[in-house]
Amino acid sequence: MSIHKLDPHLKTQVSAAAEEGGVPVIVQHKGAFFFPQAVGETQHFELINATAMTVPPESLQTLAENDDVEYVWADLPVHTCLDVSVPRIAAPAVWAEGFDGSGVKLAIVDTGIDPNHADFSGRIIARKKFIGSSEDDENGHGTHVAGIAAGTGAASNGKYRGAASGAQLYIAKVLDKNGGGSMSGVMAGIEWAVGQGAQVINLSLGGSGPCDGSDALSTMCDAAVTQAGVMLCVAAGNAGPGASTVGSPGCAKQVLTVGASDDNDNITGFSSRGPTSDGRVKPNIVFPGYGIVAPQAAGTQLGQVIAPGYISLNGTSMATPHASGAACLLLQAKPDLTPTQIKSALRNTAVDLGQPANAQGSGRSDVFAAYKIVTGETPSPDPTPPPDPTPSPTPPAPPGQNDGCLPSSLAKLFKK
Amino acid sequence: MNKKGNKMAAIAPDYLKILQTNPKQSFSVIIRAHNNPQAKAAQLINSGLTITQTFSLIPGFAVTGPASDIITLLDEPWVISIEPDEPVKTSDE
Repeated sequence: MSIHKLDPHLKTQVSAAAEEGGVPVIVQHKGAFFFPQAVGETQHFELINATAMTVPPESLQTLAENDDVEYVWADLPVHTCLDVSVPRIAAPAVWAEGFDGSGVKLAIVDTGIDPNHADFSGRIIARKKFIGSSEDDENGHGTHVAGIAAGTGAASNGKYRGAASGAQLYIAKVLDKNGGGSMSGVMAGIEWAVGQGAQVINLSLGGSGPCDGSDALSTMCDAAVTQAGVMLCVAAGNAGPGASTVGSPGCAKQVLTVGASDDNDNITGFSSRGPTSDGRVKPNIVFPGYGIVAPQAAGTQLGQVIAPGYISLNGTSMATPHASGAACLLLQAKPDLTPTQIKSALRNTAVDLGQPANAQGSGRSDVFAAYKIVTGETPSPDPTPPPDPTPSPTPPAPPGQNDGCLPSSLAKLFKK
Repeated sequence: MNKKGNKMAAIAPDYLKILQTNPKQSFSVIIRAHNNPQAKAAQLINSGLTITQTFSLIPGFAVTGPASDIITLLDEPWVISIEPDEPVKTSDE
């Protein structure tokens, strides 16, 4: 028997494998290796002399008994949990300065929220529905978004803490249980949020592109910024990687339009690209938006459950609340900041990822660098460091120690 | 310009064509207005349209009703523009 060569995670994967066509594994082996029972494509990793492959469940034992096989890992899905993505943008360094967004009014205009999730306890100030029969989140998207921006992580002992866990939440429900709504509903939600005195509004939603920013929804977003002084963070959309795929209201002129990067500082393929149809660069900046683990709304089926009360989702929807949380941190530190100043501070301190402007905007945000700018600790933006073209490889996780939140280097190593 | 020589409200030509070819069909649109749109609410209702939202940050309405009734609003001097009330959705994958 060679059961000692098998990753314990494989036991739970075998039962599901029959429906999915096989078990994804990473096989560490001696010399060159060929396993005839493998299904589909394989990928070899020279650094650790291992091969990723999919094998029929009944062949696992045969694989393990092969004398050239040293170990068989389960090829587990990877996630960028908030405990990875939030540090990636250096928010904890701002927390360490004493700022967690406390007192800042943040509006989430989305599918509603699960008011009973522990991560929002005592911080939901007001809710209003503009669609559906209940103010509660029947989809799950809004709860996830709110958690990224301002969840405490209470239900995970602080592991999945959002960017600004002290912010006061104002929740406008404008999207239904299927995640859909209308421009006019979103506009009504924005007006309500402005009326509530929101300082930051998060819009992880949009229509199809391209657009030039002159439509009614984009115009209202611009008015919220210029007339009411509200910081609006808007998702670029998920229609990338083609050019001119940013839809309304991401094409609005005054908002901070947010694209999505992954944990390795690559721009995700799905992140919508500029320019707008009138030739402006969008997105303005990127934040992490791939495999983000954050709160799950009770009774919803959206996303992949990672831990009790938490799911994983991808999208510029997930990148945007990182930006909104960042804005809350800056506003707590410097309450008189204008939206233009916040936008400039975030953009001027972003890390250049070496990608086209219409993919990365100014780059991936570094919130602590922005904090130092707005508080005067740094008189002018630091020179943008060049991107690291070849991240140092890191050995794979020891079997049994993968909690689904792999560090960036491993996510890249295991990515097929 | 309309028949009276007044400037018509802005509307995308393609969208106007859709409205004109489906006069009895119901459409949802966003009307952007000059100041004080509240004063025009009664007119909209009397013309057969249903107001679903009223906006103040940028003055205007969201209305639903027959295309023929929407088209007549293009001649109103208080109407700046008419555009479709497009669908939006969450930006997750």
